[in-house]
Amino acid sequence: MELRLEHASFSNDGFRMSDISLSIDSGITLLTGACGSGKTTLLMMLSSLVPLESGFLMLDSARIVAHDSRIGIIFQFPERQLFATTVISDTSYALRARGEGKKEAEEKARCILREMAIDENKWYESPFSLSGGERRRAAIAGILISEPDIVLMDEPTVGLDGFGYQCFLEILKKLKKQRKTVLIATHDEELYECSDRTIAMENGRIISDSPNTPWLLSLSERLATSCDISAIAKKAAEMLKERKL
Amino acid sequence: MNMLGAYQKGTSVLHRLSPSALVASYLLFLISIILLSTRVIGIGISLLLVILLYRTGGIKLKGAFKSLWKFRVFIVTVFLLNACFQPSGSPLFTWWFVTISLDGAMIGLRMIATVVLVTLLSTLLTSVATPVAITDGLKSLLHPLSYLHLKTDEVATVISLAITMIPVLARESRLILLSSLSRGAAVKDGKLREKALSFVPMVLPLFLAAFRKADELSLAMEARGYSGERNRTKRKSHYSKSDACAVMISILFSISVITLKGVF
Repeated sequence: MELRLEHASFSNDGFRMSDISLSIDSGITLLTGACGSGKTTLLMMLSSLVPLESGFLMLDSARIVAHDSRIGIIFQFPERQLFATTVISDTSYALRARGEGKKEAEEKARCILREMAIDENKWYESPFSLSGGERRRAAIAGILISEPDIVLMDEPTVGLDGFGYQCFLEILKKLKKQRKTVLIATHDEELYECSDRTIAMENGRIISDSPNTPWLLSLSERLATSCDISAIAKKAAEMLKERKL
Repeated sequence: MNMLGAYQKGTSVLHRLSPSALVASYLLFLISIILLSTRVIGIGISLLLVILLYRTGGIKLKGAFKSLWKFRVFIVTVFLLNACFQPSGSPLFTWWFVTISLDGAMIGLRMIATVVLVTLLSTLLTSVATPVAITDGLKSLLHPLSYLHLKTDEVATVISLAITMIPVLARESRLILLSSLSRGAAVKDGKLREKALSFVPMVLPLFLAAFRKADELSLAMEARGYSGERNRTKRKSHYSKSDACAVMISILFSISVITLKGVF
């Protein structure tokens, strides 16, 4: 499913982005850039949750003017949005808000909590009794349960331990297998290898947008002094321009 | 757009005032506005004062009004509470125990005007002075009370931190709201109870965020050696003619208001 921004502008907390055009399709796309480059603002523009100041958002060639439930967004530290009395009721909230029955919603919640490796004994406890990593996985489960076709993530791996990270990679693999459109704003170089495309941003502008080809991977090895994938993407764009492949 | 409480850099006269002169002037103008609010002409004078102060500070009044628009529900509630429950002349409308009269409506409007003007004045203060500057100003003004063994410095620090947290929590609440909306939380149709319950996913995380930030901030301050205001370096204040002028103007204005209150 294709999500496309056409000449869009938006301001977020004093930071303005103008005339942004971008198209993302099935697969995993990384969105990189230094802090303050506009990654979160771009995610908000793509989320359909905020009205654009100009331009428009298209989902599969249809213009979106209000929030579309086919677009899911996982903000940074999603565990801070937990609120329900039990893990299972928090996870199933999105389905019940859409009108699904409690029984069906909780059954789906059980499936996804199992996939997220949340211990069954904790499903009917308060979400605040979970550890940090478990809370993160529970919060992500609460968003993915509605099976959005497009998943936007803002720094999803920050603060995850080894086990949590492996669980997250399994989620990514599953989303890729389901041919979902995934856009991840991140500084995490480890995600580079499982992604298909990298977009780099700087000062509110997209400075490079290239598929992750094998030569780009080897470039990252040659640029051993820089593990910053936005720097790698920028360098790749320059080399492409100068045709120094 | 000026988020209520956010500092805006500038080089105006107000920006260059010393903290204690700024806070003292603010308090005097605040008292004057409240005293003037009993009459329409007084409200008009207060509005002119606020406009003049905004022009002096180089802050856009339009931005402040836009921020105030977010509080329209609160403002309407203030109006209705005054209009409905103030005992006064002949009623315009009566339902059950609720009576709205013309006098009550006028009282309600005057109350709204006062709330708006006080908020605009407070917004101006936080727009031209950083939280640190406001704290310093408050500390200077409250310092004489410390001779009565009152913890005035700590009180000023608490107030300043609370002001600092306003834009931080506003940002957090926006993210929480968007996150909840993405999960289908906002209920536009439905019964009042359902609509009220739909705010729980937003309200609870916001309260938790506020407590968490307060907890983390207190630990961070202690880790950096903060232990109250004992043995701390005192910032030296430098006063200029502008400070004296500002304070004199605010004192004269306040005296005029008190003296001529009978006229208004």
